[in-house]
Amino acid sequence: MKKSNREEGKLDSKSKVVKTLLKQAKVKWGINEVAKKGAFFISNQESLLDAGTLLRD
Amino acid sequence: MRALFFGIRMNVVNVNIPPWFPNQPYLSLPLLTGILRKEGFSVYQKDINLSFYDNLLSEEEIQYQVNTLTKSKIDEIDPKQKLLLDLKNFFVENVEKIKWETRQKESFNAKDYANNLFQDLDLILKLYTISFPEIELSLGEIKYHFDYLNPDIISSFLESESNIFKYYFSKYELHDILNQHPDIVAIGVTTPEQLIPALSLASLLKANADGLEILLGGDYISRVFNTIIQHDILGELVDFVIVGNAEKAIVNFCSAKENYGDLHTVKSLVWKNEKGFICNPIESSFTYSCLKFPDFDGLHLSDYFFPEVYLPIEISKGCYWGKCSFCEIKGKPYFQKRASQIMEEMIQQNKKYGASYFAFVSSSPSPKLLLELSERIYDLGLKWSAFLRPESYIDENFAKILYNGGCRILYIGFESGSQRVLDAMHKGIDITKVESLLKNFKNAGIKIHGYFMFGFTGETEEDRKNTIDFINRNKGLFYSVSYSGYVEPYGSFKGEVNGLRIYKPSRKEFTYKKLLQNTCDEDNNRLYYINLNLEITYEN
Repeated sequence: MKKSNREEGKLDSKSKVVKTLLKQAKVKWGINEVAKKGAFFISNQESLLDAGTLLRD
Repeated sequence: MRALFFGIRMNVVNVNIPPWFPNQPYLSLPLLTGILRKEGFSVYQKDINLSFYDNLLSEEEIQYQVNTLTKSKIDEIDPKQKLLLDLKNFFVENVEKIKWETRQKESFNAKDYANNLFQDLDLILKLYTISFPEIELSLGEIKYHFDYLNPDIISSFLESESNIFKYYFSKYELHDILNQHPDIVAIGVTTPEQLIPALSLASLLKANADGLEILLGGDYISRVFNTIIQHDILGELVDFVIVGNAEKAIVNFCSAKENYGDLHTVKSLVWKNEKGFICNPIESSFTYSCLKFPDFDGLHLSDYFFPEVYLPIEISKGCYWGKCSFCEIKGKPYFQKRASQIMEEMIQQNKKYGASYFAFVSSSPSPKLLLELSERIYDLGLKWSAFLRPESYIDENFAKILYNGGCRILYIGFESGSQRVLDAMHKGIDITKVESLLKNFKNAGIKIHGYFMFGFTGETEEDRKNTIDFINRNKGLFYSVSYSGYVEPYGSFKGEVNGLRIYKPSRKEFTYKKLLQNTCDEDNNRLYYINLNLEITYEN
């Protein structure tokens, strides 16, 4: 699997223009909405929630 | 394909395919690999779901996608896609860094930071809608803009230039799989969305390797295999299907294949001879006592989109309650591992792979099993999540023991705040006792994710209001909640004919609007919560 050769630090600060575009694009693509699935499948958000919860303790 | 002779072991390639969230391996992959390897079979396993997302979210591939956009494609883009092209330089320059950050522990410390990283990756994946407009990728999810379960439509899509899976598998996976010289390629099809990727891979492999055989297994294909194998084109892509639990069947199948044994004797196997497909009887016996641990060797555990080694463990099958009328596992037998077996497995995976975080992926383990396990592992420093039924005997002490044993989040199906609806579901819980259960877990330090269901047969507006009131009344006790619309399992039951249960497909779907807000509660560190702006529309 290809490894990044840019694994040296935090994301560069996003410019104001990029931040605005990202926000607009996420809204347009519905990425801020929480999508849910049926009872036996953990959705993206739940997996993230699960993982984050385990780590934050 | 190699010619098989007595004494030569079969080469099996075992793969998991998208979409699944790439933060840990899907359990059936290392589980079946472990069982086969223990029996001496040569197995090459690959989590193609992980490499799919890792490669499509690489600087090189994103740059390639941008560079190869034709003028006609660009002329056709809509305003949503135009926004993506405006961000293309940001995507190319940052995609590797964003992925890298999902693998750093500190990314999960800051509130919402990790959430934003995953949202950025989801957005970058939308770029693929320009070249492959019939699908929309997200991490762990794929939307198809066509009837993706219709065999005729699947069949024509497989060879289409807009089939992203054909593009991806040809470019990144085909060579690797064929280099293993497999006799059999086993592909898991757990969800409906995995059917097209599975058949795309099967089609490509069949076209590039004479005699290579395809074995499908998994929850979804177990339900729909009949439709697939009876289709003129799709039936040619599949050689074998294992229906239901595969632990015993896959060993029996591989042994029979290797020794030219009689495939009629392999329970749960669907196979074909010169006359057509044959469905063997289903294997009904099962025991955990003879099973081996999942084998993660060969999987790239540090490449998952998660900072720690985080592994799934099955601790039970089925549901010990088994009566809920909405549930697909209703009435099926329940099996569970012994607490000592689970502990041994956790210790082994910790020693061998450095895993300190575990997801108990079983949908309904006995709370008493979790209690006994917690008492055994309280000093190991391992953390885990699990699904749980909200039993009324779970008291304050019970919750504390679970916390001390490493439990940090529980996924609980409450379904409804209306006792009338719960009784109609045969859920077997008393809603008045649930609030003290929530308090006990909250006080112990265990976070609760609640599942709710709207639209159950006979549910009234008042019942729905009771559910919303229940959630709001207990907002401070939930970490998060989610909902689903009730869909009758397999549609409406119409009766039995010659022992076959006949269902009429359900046409009723539910659309919920403004039910959830993507917001964060400062006090409870929630990612989202339910609010009172409930609108429900029914679409027929």
